[in-house]
Order: sequence, then C-alpha cells, then structure tokens
Amino acid sequence: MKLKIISLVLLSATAGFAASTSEIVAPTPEKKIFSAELLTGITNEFRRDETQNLVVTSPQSYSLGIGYGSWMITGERSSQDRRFSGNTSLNVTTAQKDESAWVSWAPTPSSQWRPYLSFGGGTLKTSVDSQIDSEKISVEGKELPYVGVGFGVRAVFLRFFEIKTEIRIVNREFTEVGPAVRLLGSVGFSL
Amino acid sequence: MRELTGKLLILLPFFFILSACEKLFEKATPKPVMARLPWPTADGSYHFQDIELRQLKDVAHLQSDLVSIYESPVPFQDGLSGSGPYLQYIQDADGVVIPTDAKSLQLLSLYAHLEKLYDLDLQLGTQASWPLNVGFEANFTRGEEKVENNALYIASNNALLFVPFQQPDLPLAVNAGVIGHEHFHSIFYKKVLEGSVEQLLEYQFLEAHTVAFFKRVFGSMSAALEPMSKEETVSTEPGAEEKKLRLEYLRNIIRGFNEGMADLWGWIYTDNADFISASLPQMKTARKLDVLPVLLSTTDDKMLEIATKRDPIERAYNFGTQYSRLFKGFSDLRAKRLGTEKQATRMELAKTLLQSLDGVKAEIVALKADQTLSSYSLLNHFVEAIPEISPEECRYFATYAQKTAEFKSPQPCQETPR
Repeated sequence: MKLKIISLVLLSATAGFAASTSEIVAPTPEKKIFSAELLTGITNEFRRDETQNLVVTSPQSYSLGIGYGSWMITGERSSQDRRFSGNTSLNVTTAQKDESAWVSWAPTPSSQWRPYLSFGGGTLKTSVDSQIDSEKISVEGKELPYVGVGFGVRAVFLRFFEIKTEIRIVNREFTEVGPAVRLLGSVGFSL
Repeated sequence: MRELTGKLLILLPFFFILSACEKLFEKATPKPVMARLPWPTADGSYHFQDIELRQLKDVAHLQSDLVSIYESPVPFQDGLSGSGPYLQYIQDADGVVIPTDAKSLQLLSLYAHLEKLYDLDLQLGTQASWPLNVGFEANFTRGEEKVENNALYIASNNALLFVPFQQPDLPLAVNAGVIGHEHFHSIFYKKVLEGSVEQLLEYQFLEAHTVAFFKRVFGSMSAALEPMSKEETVSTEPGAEEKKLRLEYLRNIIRGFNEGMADLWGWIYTDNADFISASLPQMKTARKLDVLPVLLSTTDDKMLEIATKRDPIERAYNFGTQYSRLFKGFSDLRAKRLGTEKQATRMELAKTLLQSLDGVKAEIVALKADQTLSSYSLLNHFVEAIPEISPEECRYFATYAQKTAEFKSPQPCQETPR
C-alpha cells in the first residue's frame, strides 16, 4: 500500500510537471534548476476524535527533498512514542510511524522567501505493546493511508540554511471524524 | 486543445489519489469481531487471548443490542446519563482488534465478558434482564464521599456501575469474576426481589415505610443506598424498634444470599475460586471460596449480630461467604463422586442454585406478619433442588448445618443417620 501511494504521488508529480511545462515559461539560465533540502523538525497534528476531544500529537520528523524548477518532491518520516493510561497490572504503550511523500510547487523557487503549495500522501502505522501482569504482547497495526494538501513557506538564509513552515490538511481513512490539521516547522540544509 | 489537456493533467494526480483510497469509503465492522484481550485462565492468571465477539455492531462505539455502555455516567431516572464510549484501536494483519489505550482495553474486555455472561444466561435460562445499562468510571458518591475501587448493580436503573479504580492491581472492569458477580445481582433481582416487593408491602410490620423506600431497599441491595434507608427507618410509633430489627434482619439475610451467591456465580463463570484477589488482594482472606466452610449462622445468630450493631455490609458478606464456600465445597465433592468435568459440574450447580432461588422467593412472598425468613431458607431450597443427592452429600450439609430445626433435610437425607 505504501509503495502504491508513493508511486502514485510520483506519477502525479510527473503529470503535474508535464502540465505545468506546457504553460509555464522555462526558468532563465541564471536561476537554479535543481535543488535539494535535508530538514528535521516537529510536526504538530491537531484532530478531534468522535467525542470532539482535541487530540494533539507532536512527533519529530525528518525529510529529504529534491527539486526541479518550481517543483519539489519530498519524502518525510516521523515517529513518536506515547504512553497511555494504565497501571502496573494493565497498561498499553503505542508507537506511531508515519511515512509520506509530498509534491510542492513554488512560483518563486529562487527567491529567499518561497511560498509553495503542496499535495501528497503517506501511511501511518501504529504498533502496540500491551501488558497484563508479567505478560507483554507487541502488535503491529495495518498501514493506514492518508492524503493531504498544504500551504507553506521556505526561507533560505546564508545560502545553505533553510527554515520551512507549512500547514496541511490531512484526511486519514476518510472517517467521519473529519480531517486533521498539521503544522510543520523544520530547519536544515538547502542546496 | 493544448490548454484543456494541461488542465486535465493537473487534475490527474487528485483523481489517482482518490481512486486509490476508494475502498476506504467502505466502513464495515467485521462480523464476528475478534479482539485480543486479557482473559482469565484456569489457574486464575490473565493472559492475552483472541476472543470472538458475535454481537458487537460497532467496535469504536461499543454498540450492541445487549448493553448500553456509558462513560463517567450518573444514575438518571430508570437508566444512566452520560456519554457513549469511543474506543481507540488498531487492527493487526488478520483484522484482530487491538485497543491502543488502557481505557479502551478495559471497556472492550468488560463488553466481552458481558457477552459471554449473556451466553451463559441463555444456556441456563436465568431470565436476567437484557439489555443492561453499564457505567464505566461512573460518578457515584456515598454521602459526601466519592466511591472508588468498587462495582455495583442498581436494580432500579438495571445498571452495572464500575467506579474509578485507583489500585495498582487488575482493574475491576477486566476482572471476569467481578463482572460475573455484579451480573448475578441482576439475576437475583429478577429471580427473588422483583415482584416480591409489592407482596411484602401487605404485611403489617412493613407498613410504616413508603413504597419508594421498599423499592430502593429490595430493588437494590447496593451498599450505596445504605444511608438513605437508614434515614427512613426512623419511626416513633409503638413497636417501631422491633419492626426495625425485623426489617434489618430480613434485609441482611437477603443481602447475604445475594452477595454470597454473586461470589459463587463469579466462580461458576471463571472457575477461579479466588477471583477477587486479582483486583482487591486485601479481600482475599474474607472472600476466597476454596477454603473449608464454617457452621452456617442460624436465624438467632443473625438476630444477635444485628442487635450488637456490627457493620451491616460486613455482616451480609460474612453470611454470604458462609453460603458460597458451603456450595462451592459441595460442588467439589459432587464432581469427585460423579467424575464429571469441572465445567459440567459448575453448570449443574448453577441450575440447582437458580431453582433454589425460586423457592426462596416463594417463601418471602408467603411470609406472614409474625414470621421471619429463616437464615437456612436458601440451604433448604438448595438441598431440595439437588438431583439425586447422595448419602455422602447429605452428611456434608449436615456437618455444616447446626443442629437446629431450621435445617430441613430432604427425604433422601433423612434416611441417612446424621
């Protein structure tokens, strides 16, 4: 499923790029054509569960992006350990792993401030450790796919340093709970 | 044309992504649901097992025709008032439901046991009242004090309440024996208390009290209602003290039967004679069933206890435990004699018990103003209901029954020298 989604995103990127090159004037020679970024940061996710309680998670994320002109494709990975309620006799611990691929389009790819639009998708996998007295079991959950769209800004300082912030709306599983909002903040290197 | 092609290509990625996720629109709960839950084993310990849930319609909301579950509810009118549960869970590669937090794990375990207890009710024909209202982490106060580490059944609301559990031991909502114990109170209500309330009101010694009072007292043997009933038993009329004593005695005997047989039911359901200590180890000595019984208290013993004003709850449990240990010991003896499987023996015991409760109810209904219910009432009806009682079993009961006329040994036992 994960491979399917990533390949779809790649395909979409190619298609989108093909469409855009038919409309957009090719970059001038002095502008950077290829670009890359390596970032780390925090992804804050806000969503409401079915009882309307706000659920907030803040896993650390890593991303690697490769760009061509106005387009950039980014692979992201984040993981988080979170311990839920329980006591010494009965408790549950979960860990979540999120892998995704995003395509972004920036109208001004060579300027210092680069606003962009993005879309993409990925999978979220939860593993659970459940304990009853001295017995502990670990279970890997299914990979749950999601898709999303976003808007963000990249800022490049001192030629190689990049700060990126983005707001995304992510629809996981198409549940009636509604979409989640993700607020990303990351820093790293840009080439 | 070129412009149109470009626009279509821009839309293409969204089409692909939506198509790939189309199947996610199908929201179907697997039926039956398999869930990995902490489940009791024969040695009394708990291990994770895959449990089949056949009546669960919606896992996330624990929707089923058998129970209405509420989180942090309060008793309201004839039911409960609170929000419905929302479970956090994942499914493994085989579709087995795995709760992802401790609360969800407790709720699903509680539901699973209730479904199994429903199956047991069907098998035994208990006439218990389903669907059942269930409160998880219920807000319940006794006087000014918030009740914790307990579970109770309220007949007027047909509700099983699990109040917040703060101990480091097995939560009560996961303890199969405790759930079986509380569920038995609903069976006892249906078998013994319901319908006998109105009959009891006809007798003179109860006339000083209101219908509402009796509905509370006999409609629920809940400890939580103790303060209310005490307030209302205050009366200045002549002979009030005697009436109060008789009422207190009757309540205590009935409550003793109820609590003792609820513990027995917990054992019948789990095959664990010490199910209570997994959650409340401080009660191990007082409540475990695999110890030798003691002489059964006579009516005079019980009257004396009440006159000396020992704690009413402790009195009821002590008396009830005498009974539960006596019947558990009998079941062991019978299994040994007949060489039957443990499960089959427990089922036979459950049937005998249910039959004997009918006899107790009939006796309560037939009580006259100057009569009291014998503390041996349940024993007499139980022994009478045992199919093909053996001389050895007769001697067993005779050993633990005091030499009193209250013990009415059945015909087969009378042929055996005591």
